[in-house]
Amino acid sequence: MPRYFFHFRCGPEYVDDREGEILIDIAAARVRGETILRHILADDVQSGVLEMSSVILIEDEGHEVAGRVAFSDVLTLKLEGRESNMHQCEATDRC
Amino acid sequence: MLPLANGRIIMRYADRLDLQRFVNRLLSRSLLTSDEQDAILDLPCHFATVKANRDFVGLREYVDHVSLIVDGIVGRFDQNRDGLRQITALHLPGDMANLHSVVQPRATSALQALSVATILRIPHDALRAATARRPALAEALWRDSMVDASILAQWVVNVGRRDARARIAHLLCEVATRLGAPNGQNGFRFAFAVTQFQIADATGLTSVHVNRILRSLRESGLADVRNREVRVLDWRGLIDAGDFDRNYLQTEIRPEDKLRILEAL
Repeated sequence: MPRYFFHFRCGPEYVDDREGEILIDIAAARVRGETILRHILADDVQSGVLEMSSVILIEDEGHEVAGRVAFSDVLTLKLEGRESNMHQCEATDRC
Repeated sequence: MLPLANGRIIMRYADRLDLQRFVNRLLSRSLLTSDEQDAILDLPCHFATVKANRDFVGLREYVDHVSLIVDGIVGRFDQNRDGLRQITALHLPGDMANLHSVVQPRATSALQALSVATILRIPHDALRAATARRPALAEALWRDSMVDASILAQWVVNVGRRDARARIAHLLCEVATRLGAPNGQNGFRFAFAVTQFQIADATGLTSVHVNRILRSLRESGLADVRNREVRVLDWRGLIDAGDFDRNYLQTEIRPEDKLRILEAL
């Protein structure tokens, strides 16, 4: 099974993943990337500061970019019961 | 009778040194007579090497021996219905990883070598015989098991009540202390042959998150974790970051506080 690497980027902060994880395919790697980002965002929320520009960059074994997971891919925001993804939400004054 | 092969004879001497290390560990908390100490040193045992990432005790497996860790790091695992694993304990050199199996031989959690590990296997029967006539020795082993329980309780607090940074700082403080780090000494180094993935499994985080926190600890001048080695840069700062109080490890028992409660009738 292939190994995928999950690098973290948030503004000037870049954390290089040199270990990677062995997963079945890119679809599984993408699900893993989403889980990783949700965990980091959850910790952000606990700390009281949520950094919305955080992204996970997925690389394959050849260190070619195989995917990108961003805030709007992993979180749906709701306001008064109305769903909105982050891009839409950012465009309104209410968020 | 000693086998004739030189290598095996040397090994038996080494085995005895490893058992002496375990006796010293018992003596750090309990009072034992020389006969009781000899009963441990005379235990039959055999040496085994376990490859990294290999389970040597499976979930629900019946075991007939305990495993004294001589070298390497061993993880205790549990898992959920989907097979997702969580490390619930780290066993370091000198630990009797499954001492409780003497009285509960069916494994309720698995043991896996996280790095190449060397262990001494000691038959349950021999330990039962050694303790049957020596209640104070049984008491010392019981007390040693209670340290594992105390560590587990702290790990529950770690994953339940500490944020990611504090969890990892606490884990580093604990491992450093268990490996004999002098209290308050900066610059203490220790081998920590685990991956970020395994640290994540022990702290309920993801490996990327662990990676990010380790970088933060390094940039804050608290600890440098690289190439399977940890260097404590600022012991006081790391303790503060990890909300760490070493008392639960019971590593510094004063001579007058060592216990011996049970005696033969």
